[in-house]
Amino acid sequence: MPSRGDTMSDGSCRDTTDLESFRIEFRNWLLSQDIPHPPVDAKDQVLVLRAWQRRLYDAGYIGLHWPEKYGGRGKGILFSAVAAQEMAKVGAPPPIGKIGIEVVGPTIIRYGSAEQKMRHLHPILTGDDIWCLGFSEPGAGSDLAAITTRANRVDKGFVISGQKVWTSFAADASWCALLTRTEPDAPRHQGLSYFLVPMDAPGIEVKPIVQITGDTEFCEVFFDNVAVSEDTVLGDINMGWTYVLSSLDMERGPFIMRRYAELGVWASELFEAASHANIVSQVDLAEDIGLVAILLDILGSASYDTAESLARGTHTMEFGSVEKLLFSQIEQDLFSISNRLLGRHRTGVSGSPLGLVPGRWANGYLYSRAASIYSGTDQIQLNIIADRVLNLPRSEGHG
Amino acid sequence: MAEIDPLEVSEGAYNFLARRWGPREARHYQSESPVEFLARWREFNSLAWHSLYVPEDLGGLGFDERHLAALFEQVGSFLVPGLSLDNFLGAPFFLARGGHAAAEQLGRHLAGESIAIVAAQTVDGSDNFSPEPWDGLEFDGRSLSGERKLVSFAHLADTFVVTTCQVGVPVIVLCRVGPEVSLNRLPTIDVCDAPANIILDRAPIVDVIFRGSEALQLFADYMTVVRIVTAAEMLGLCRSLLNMSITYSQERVAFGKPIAAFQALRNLLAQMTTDIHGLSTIVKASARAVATGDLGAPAMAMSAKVHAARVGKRVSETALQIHGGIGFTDECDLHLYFKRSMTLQGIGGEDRALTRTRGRLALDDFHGSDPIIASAERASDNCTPTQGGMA
Repeated sequence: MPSRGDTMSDGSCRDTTDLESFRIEFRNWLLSQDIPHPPVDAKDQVLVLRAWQRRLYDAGYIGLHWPEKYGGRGKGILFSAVAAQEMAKVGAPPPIGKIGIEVVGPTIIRYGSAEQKMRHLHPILTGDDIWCLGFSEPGAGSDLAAITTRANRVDKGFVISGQKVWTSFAADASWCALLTRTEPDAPRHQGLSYFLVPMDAPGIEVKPIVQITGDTEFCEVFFDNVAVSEDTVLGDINMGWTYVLSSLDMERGPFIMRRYAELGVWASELFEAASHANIVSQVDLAEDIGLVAILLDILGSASYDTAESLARGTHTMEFGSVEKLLFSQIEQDLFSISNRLLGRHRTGVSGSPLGLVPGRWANGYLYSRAASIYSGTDQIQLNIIADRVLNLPRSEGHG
Repeated sequence: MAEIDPLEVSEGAYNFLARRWGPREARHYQSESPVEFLARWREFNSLAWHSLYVPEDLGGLGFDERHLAALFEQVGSFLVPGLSLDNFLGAPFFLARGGHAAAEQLGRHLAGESIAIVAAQTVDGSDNFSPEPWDGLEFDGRSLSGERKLVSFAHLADTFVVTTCQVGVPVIVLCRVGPEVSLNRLPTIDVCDAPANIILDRAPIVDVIFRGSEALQLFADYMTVVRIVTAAEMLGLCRSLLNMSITYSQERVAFGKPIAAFQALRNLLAQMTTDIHGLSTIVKASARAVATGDLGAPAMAMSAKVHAARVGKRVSETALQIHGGIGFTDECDLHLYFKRSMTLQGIGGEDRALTRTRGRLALDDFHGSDPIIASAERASDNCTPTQGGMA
């Protein structure tokens, strides 16, 4: 396994133990770079963002909180949080391999075999391998334990059949972290297994789904008797539910930090546009800008709080539901306000009063409506909070 | 700065208050006699609460805003009146930074011998640097005349720390309570408050402790801390309301089961939990920002206060809804918290005006200017000369 030393040949990476020193170091590095703007064409986008991730990796800024023995910097989650913030400030796109870096990689580190670590971790960091998560199905979204995709044991491996949906980035992915049912007669949360499946295996078909935003980030993925070897099983057979919960929990913290950074970019754009307006005389505009600024302050403090609890080891999966609910509500409030500011132009016909690009902001508002749906709907989060944070009684017949 | 974890301050305050204070004591506060008040004052003083924020070289503990926020979260939880930065702790804030006369008054204040209270309340809670803190009084260089409105616990003061103007220059002065000072006590539904209008008729001042841009800057810093402390107090109050609501909903039975089992109430309680979490993070972040000298601290404090007002309103209304009919009676202590929330919503600026100021600060930040200086300059522009002023 290649390891990165403290100093690269071009001196772009230094061992920085202090968080604020790291912030300055990374900020200066970003300012020295030609930040890529993702092209409109999806294929070109993958090429550009892959190259960007490689640049970040070569300079030592990918996998900051991964253990050093697996190619990371061993710096702690707060360093990743700071990096996300600084990238948002300059409008730098997040690495294309974020699912691998934030979710699958840490899951493999925790549960994978030595061979799986050797095979997968380095390409995750470099961006050579892009991952997708094959979890949800048409009949198993909020109720993930209801999945029906089967993995039947055969000689020297398994044969997988079924369908996944809402699979982000499946069209560009080279690997899939796949949840299957290996013991159909076992109770719902048992008998599930976690596979690491190559997306070029025969029998896999990917169909992009057009979203209300016009993008095709999500896909359906069909598995038609896909043969995989034994060594694609992560950890132990029938322990998949434990690994999936671990994956989802690992995703929550970095996702919150990254999303805060991304929303910071949106807010900056709004402030720039508003700064050219005569805000002092426009009381309503001042109030709306103030609301956005306040929402961003809360997002920032909440994401820092999450990072601190992760760093201290006090973060709990259950409290992640509180954080997720808070974030989705704030994101939706933020884009509701910007939507109001667009006025008559909110459906993107022509220029807006503030000079914002209506199509882009309409897209942002539409995408924000998904925040209360993905990674567990707000209603599911409320239920989890009631059950596992507040320990409230359940109604009879409650699942 | 002392190396004490704010959590220790919080735990210490909780352990003390859990044994001694709560809604039953809160109901008695407004009829408290001066002797009772002084006994309580001395008890809080024995815990060093009044000197918590006073620098060590003036005999205080030298703690920072994080410790203050931790203390006030418990103050809010247990409905403890009179300790807010807006009145009792506000005086040490100014006195600790003044000259000899101020330091002497500070010593007497901390000993409980001469209580000093800040009389700089904004009446309608308009913008951060509204003219109200500096207007409304005539100051001729020796005495004050006019009225200050809605000063909490003014009836207990021996000395006032007053903001006013002298020939267009903002000043902060010390004024002893004597025959030239009278009060109109105002009725309030908040058991934790005791507001009064102060009428000054050529009341002699002891000293001018701050003048000009120093007065402006100090008042701006004071308002920043007022906002954080008020947000922290609201946070504690909300936590108590949530706990009350959980307990009630688990005990109250309807249709053969605890009402906490019904989805509609589970959702309300889960939403309260989420709202309170968001508030707790920004209270912590804003206190940390001030304590670490972050230039963005004033803006952060505004955000904390606005959010506290909104969350406080939402949580108190939801708690009342959960308690149903009994929550609407005096038999239930909930309304004491509900009304305290109403008062706290208005302290430090009303949320719409603060939000507008926050919006303007966001654009100042975007352009890279120092929001504190920009705001102080705006305040200076707003300070108008009074009649009869003399240099």
